[in-house]
Amino acid sequence: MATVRLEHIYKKFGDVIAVNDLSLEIRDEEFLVLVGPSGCGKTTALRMVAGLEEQTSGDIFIGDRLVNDVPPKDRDIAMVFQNYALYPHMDVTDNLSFGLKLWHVVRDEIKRRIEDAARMLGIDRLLQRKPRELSGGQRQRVALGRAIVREPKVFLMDEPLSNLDAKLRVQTRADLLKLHQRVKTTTIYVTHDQVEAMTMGDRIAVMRDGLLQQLDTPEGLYASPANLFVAGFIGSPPMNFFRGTVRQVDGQTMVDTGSVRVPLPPRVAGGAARAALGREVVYGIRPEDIEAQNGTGGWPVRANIEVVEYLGNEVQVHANVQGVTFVARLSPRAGARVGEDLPLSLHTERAHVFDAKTEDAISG
Amino acid sequence: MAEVERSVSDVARTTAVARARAQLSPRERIGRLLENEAVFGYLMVAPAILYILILVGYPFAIALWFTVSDATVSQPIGPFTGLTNLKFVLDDEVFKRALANTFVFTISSQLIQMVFGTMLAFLLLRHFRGRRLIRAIVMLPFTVPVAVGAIAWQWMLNPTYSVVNWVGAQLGFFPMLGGPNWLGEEQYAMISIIVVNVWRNLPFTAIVLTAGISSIPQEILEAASLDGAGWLTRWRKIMAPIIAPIIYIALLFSLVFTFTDMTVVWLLTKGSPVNSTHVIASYAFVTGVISGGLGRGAAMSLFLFPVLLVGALMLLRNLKARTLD
Repeated sequence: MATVRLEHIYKKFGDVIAVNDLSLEIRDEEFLVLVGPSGCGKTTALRMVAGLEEQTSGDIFIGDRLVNDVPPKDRDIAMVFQNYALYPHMDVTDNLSFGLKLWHVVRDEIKRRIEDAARMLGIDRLLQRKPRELSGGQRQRVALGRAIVREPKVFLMDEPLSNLDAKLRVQTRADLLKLHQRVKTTTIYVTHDQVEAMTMGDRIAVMRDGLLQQLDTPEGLYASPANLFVAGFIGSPPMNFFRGTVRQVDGQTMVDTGSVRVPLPPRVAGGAARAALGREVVYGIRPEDIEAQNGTGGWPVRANIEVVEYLGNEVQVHANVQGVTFVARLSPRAGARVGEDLPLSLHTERAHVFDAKTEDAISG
Repeated sequence: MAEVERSVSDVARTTAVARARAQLSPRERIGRLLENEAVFGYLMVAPAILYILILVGYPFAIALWFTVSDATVSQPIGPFTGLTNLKFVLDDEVFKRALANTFVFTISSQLIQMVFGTMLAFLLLRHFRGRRLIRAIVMLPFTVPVAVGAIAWQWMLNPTYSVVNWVGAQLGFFPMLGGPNWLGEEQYAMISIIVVNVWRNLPFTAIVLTAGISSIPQEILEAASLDGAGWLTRWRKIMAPIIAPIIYIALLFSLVFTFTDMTVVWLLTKGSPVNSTHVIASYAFVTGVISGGLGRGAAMSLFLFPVLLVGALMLLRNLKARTLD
């Protein structure tokens, strides 16, 4: 078990800065997810921890050991690759034991570890098979098994679920979590899928363009995104944004889009609200913070319904309020019909406000 | 009664079909014929069968006949002589030498090609400036006409003007003008032949290996590194087994090809000095064509046959296994 610490890591490929001043501390036994759109530097960061890529500058510690100059095999880590990278000419047993043999682990111990891992992953009947005789899900398990039997200090996982079909991915997600609760090995998990990140991470590091945007728990990211990017990236369907100006209207500080006025949320109050006066901002409200009016509060608006997407447990409607369109998640019983007007209430107390220029969240 | 009715109607239908067929134009009739899978299929494979019969089967049959007859250039249809030719060939000291040379030549060429080919392949896979240029240059020996290459080598190995000896002398390996006579002494001549053959075929081996190695997904090699494998272990336990099928087939082809090849021998030494560097192919050519002893030449060539047969069978089995996989 170990912590992993990245201090001011830079990685340049020619003129491109893939990772820009990344500092992160992954706690012992933590499941940390690195998430972001493709090309954000998350995989590069993971590969630098593995030692497959050398950072241009900065320090990486695994446990208390500075590993900058330690070759991958001596970093005491195991990695699960997106395409599994099983050895195609070896059967499952040999795939699992390859690394152990190289470390001269005694035969009985190798046998014990393989049996344990195989039972844990439900691949004990596949041990004699070659990778090409396995399904995608089985290969994925073998790849996990190969990491587990090593009993490393840290697991590194590079999009291990993205080659599975949707149903299997959900199931394997849960299995991975159970596995982590059992072996408790510190894990760094890379994904571009925010649902995977939210469901699996103890904490999540959101990256964009090589820059760490925010490091927080899933609840923290959802409730208080640090900037516009994180706000838009976390949550599905994504948060609605409208541009507007902060104005004093009838003694209340409001965001005015020109046609619609909504009050500032309580998180932007007092000094922050006064400081924001006159500024261009982006007002964000999540689709789930909009309801059909039922007298339980919220900011009332009258919306024209443009699209209704029926999902069974809910409907997602595209609503238009005087030229401002947004998505709302409503109950199927809310009676949303295309082309008709519907009174909605916005729970503006849970809204977010971002500076239009810096894109940072405004709060205070 | 019903049967009679049926047969009557059958007859009626048959005549109707015949009448319809009679009304077809010749072009339509050929079209109909080609619709028949058996006819069209045989038509398609006919060129290949003809090729095999005329250009492979017929010469092979003739060679067999030559072997058991006293055929000469002046009298190709000679009298039947049984195994006399084979007996003569087996008693021929030069042939025995050529037989041994063929094996030495083939096996050492292949071994050296594999070892250096692998090293060259790894060098070509490295990222460095001008890699494409270097790759093109490496391919040159393979693209230069072999006769041109051989002439250059003859000059480089010439006893008086040898560049090789000059360099050796400058480096202090042997006195100026006192170096080995590369093509004039038995051992040196054989070594020279092998070296030139390797020079000629090395690019091919290296390129096949480069292609094989670069087809291995990078992640597999990275996974092996993380598993603790150094480069030698990665090569032995991961890369070599993965590309083994490619190596195997390239090696078989190359073996069969080298075994029957006389190009380099002929261009460098023509078998000299004193018939010490002949391979079976070149000696069979000298005996059968230059000296006109068709029967004896054919008998010599026949010695290649068992080895080639085994090689061909192994190739075929490999291909079959591959299609079944």
